[in-house]
Order: sequence, then structure tokens, then C-alpha cells
Amino acid sequence: MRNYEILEHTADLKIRAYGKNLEEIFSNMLQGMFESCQPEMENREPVIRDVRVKSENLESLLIDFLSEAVYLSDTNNEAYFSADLTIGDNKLKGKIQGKKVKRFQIEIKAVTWHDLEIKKVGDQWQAVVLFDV
Amino acid sequence: MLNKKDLRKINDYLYEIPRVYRSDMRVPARIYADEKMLDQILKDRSLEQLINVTVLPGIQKYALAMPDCHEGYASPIGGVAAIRISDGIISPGMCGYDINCGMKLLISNYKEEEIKSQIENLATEIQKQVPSGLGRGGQSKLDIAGINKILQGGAQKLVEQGYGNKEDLENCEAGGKLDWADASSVSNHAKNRGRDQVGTLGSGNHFLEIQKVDQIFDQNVAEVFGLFKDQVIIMVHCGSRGLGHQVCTDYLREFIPLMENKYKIRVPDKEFACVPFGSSEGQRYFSAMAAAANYAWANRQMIAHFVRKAWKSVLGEKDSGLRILYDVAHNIIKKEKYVIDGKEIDVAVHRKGATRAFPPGHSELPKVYRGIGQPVLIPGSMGTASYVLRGTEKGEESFYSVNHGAGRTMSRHAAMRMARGDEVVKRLRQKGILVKCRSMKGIAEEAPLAYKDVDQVVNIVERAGLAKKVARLTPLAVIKGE
Repeated sequence: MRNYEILEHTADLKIRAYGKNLEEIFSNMLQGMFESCQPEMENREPVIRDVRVKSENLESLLIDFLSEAVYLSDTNNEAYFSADLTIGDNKLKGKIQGKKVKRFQIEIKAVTWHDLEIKKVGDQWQAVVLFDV
Repeated sequence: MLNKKDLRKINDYLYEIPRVYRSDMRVPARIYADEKMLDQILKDRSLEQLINVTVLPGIQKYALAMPDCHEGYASPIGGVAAIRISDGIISPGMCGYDINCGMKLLISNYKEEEIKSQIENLATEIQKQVPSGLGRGGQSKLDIAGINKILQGGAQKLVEQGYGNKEDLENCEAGGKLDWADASSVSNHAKNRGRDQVGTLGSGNHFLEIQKVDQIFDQNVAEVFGLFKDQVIIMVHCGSRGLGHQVCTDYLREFIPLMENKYKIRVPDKEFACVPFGSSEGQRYFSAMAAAANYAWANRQMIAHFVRKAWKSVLGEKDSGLRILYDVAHNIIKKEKYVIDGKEIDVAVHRKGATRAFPPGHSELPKVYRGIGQPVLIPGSMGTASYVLRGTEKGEESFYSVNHGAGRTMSRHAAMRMARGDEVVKRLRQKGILVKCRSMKGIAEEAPLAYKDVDQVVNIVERAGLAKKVARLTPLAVIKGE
């Protein structure tokens, strides 16, 4: 089972991520988002950032988490490819791991609410997010 | 799914989706396109998204799509909505994340043949001077107080500090500064993202091109604009970078629950995230958007400064002689007045991927252009033509708005499957166009085949009467941010 796939969209970046639980799907969407930016690494030691997000529902929690990662990436010149999170009660805390980046080919402008989806299908979680690039 | 038969042809360049098409439409939707372009537009969800725009409370006359329109989120890119201020909404999603993404055009005194041997050196030096997209240009980071000054003062602040001259501001929309900007309505997250990005292009479709004037359509107007055949000019396309993206992200986040719970506004796409224009929240966003717009004008002004520096160092001149023809936004919300049903009405014109094109005589135009209309700057896709047009009286029907480029027609993913970066660069080089980029990876996504034909798009705008062609520009060198 792959972690995520890129869906067709005329101009922006649409990703469907998969996971066996919420923690995994959040981490896989993060990975999909940053891998799609095609970062060129600085080839340094891994970086780890703490994240803590509280939202009013699960959809908002996913957007807020990814938006915080975009903020951290833009201000620290880093890309993150996995997350070690604890999620419950529309709250999330944990760490995201990545690397220093020289440049991105694609810049994520924002994580949008358009066509946003997060749902359980059988025993799997699926989420779709459209990123403005 | 919308079908061609759901559209009514008004004339060869204008189609309408009547109000009866969907029960929640407040006004019809109109699309500037010819039949061929319409077929292309119908391939994605642009028009479904345009119908969603017609639902916005306070929308006047019709929701508009320009011929370069393509699917986005909330509104299609290339969408225009004029919303009555007295009882309508303001929508961060209908402005977009890249607040005041726009164009700046610098013109030289040279013909191509006079400096042909220096074009490559100029491109190399400009690439060195204009810091890369991630903002690591070697300049020091501004502190928050410095960012606040730019948010309040825009390009004016930079000119005061010596990064340009008075004429640069005269030839810039709003003089490079919106007075109602309020730095205190911009979050620290946004300000932090802006600290090292003043004077940076960013990635994606943002670019800087050395171009030449390939064709003049109107000699008299071209003279007033300072354009002549074979002239070397420089076009800049970029916006408010991470700061603007964060402003939009912050306000969407705040407005979605307000829209649903406090103001009970129902729209088909959350991404509109609208609140009443006159509400305290709406006004706070309007002042934050203005601050981000000021940041974008400062960004383009700083890039112009770097370009002038590069120009002087390569050509060994005291003064670069580069004059700014104009600077105009294509993602912005502005208060404007229109006569609608016989009454003058104040509206908030939301332009998302649409360029303002004021007519001759408009009081907001610089004196030098007032007799002929606003210069309208339309970039093509990488390696293709760009245009300078001028606004017309007939443009009133589109709230003085035209397209903002060629418009994508193929996803980035599909473009990458169709073309390789190095092949695209090679093909452009065969056409005499240099490409300066820091990596090949992003080039394929911006390949000309991923875009509509800019000549056709501009012809539709002209034949619809919204603007008149003044000059066609072709690239000599393309410089990408990343």
C-alpha cells in the first residue's frame, strides 16, 4: 500500500493520502506534500520540530497541522517527510522530522479547504487535500 | 456536469450561463471566450467554480471569467466579482493566497542589436543580484519593525530609502502603497515569513524576463508608453511571497467558522470564507490584504533595484536608464465605483487572476497615461510572447478587468510526463531564448505546452473590446527564481 498518490488538477497539487490510523494519514500527507515540492537537500543532519495544534474538528486539525508545517518550512528552510504524532480530541502533539533544504522546485503557497476530505473507508483512512502551488 | 448547450452565446467573444441554470445563482455568469477557447475551458471545472461565484451575497451584474481562466479553488483563476459594499461580503478566497501577485515592466533605451552581445551577461548578473525564491540572497533579515514599515509604506517606503525614484511610484498602481493598510492586522507568523523575502521572485510560474518589443500595434500609444520596435525591456512577475500566503491562510482559518456560525452565510465552497464587507472582521482582513499588497509592491520595487544594479554593472553605465512603464496587480480586492441600474454604487472588485484595465480619463491613472488608458501588462507562458495593452471605455462591462496571462491547460504532473526540463531549455535555446534556472526540475512543469496560446487569449480580450493591443513582446532570456 502506498502512502499517497497525486491526483489530476489543472494548476494546483491534489494529494490523496492513506493510513491505517489518523497518526499515519497525517504523516503520509505531510510526506506527500513535501516530496511533491521536489526539495534539493542541504545534505545535513536530520532536523526535528515540535508541533502542537488544537482545532474544532478533524478537517481543521489536518489543515492547521499542514499549514503549520508550511510555516516552519518557509521560515527555517526545511522540508519534513514524517511525523511522530499523538492525535485525539481534535488535538495533536508530537514531532515532525525532515532536513535542511537548499531550494524547492515547487512552493506550497497554502493548504486549501477546497474539496477537502478525510474519512474512514473500511479499516483504512483516506484524506484528499488540494494545495495551492 | 455543465454542458455547452447550457451556455447562451451573447456574441462571438462572450457567453452566458443564465441564472436559471442553478437555483442558488444570484446573477448570471459570463465568460469571455470564442468557441474554440470555450471548448478548452469546458474541459475542467472552471465554469462550475464560476457559478459558485454568482452565489456570493452582494454580487453585482454577473460573475466573470476571462479567456485564460482555469480551475482553481473557490473562484476559478481568471475570475472577477464586483460585490456591493453596503450589503455584500469580502472573500479572502476570492482574492487568493498570492495577494498582489502582479507584473512590473522596466524599459531601456536600447535596441536589441545595440546590446545583443551583452544579453547573456545581463541575464547571469540579474540572476546573481535577484535573490532566489527561498530568500537566501545573502541579505540580512529584516526585523519585525522593518517589516511593519514595509506593510504600511509599500514601495514608497523603499523609494524613501533610496531603492528607486519618484517616477517609479507614479507609474505603479496606487503609487505602490494602499493607505488603508494596517500592519497590526497581520499575524507574526506572516511577518516572520516576510523577513527575508523582500526582493525575491519565488518559484512556480514566477519569473523575470529580458524581452524585446517584437511588434507595435499602436504607434502613438507606444510612444507615450515609451515603447519602440526591437527595444530591450524587462518584465517581472511575482507577488507577496510567504507573507501574503500566510495572511490569506490566517483569515480563511478565522472566517470559515464565522461565515458558517456567526454570519450564517451559505456558499458552495468553504474556500470563499466570506464575511460582511462592513463587519469588523471584514475590515480587518481588508487592511491586512492591503498590507500584504504593499509588501508585494515593495518586493517588485526591490527587484527593480537589483535589476538596475545588474544593468549598470554589465553595461558600465552610471545610470541604468531603466524606466518603469507600469506595475499592476492581478490578485487583489479594490474599492471602485460603477454605475449599475442608473445608480453609482461602491463595490469591492475581487480580481483573482485578472488584471485591472482602467480607461482613458480615469482619475487613478498617472497623468502621463490619463489621455490614453492604463498600461495593462500580460505575461505569456515561459518562452512565449507577452503583451502590453491599454484599457478602454468598453472595459466597464467587465469592471475594467482583463486576463492575467495565458492560463494553464495541463496539470503540472501531465506537463512533466510530456516534457523534460532539459529538452524544454534546449528547444527554447534553438529559438534564441536563454533560460537561467537553478535546477531543471521545475522547468518541465512550466513548459509552453502546459498553457493556452497567449496570442489567442489576448485576441479575444481585444475583440471583446476590453483592452487594445499596444505591443507584443518576445523573450530573449528567462530567469526563474528557483
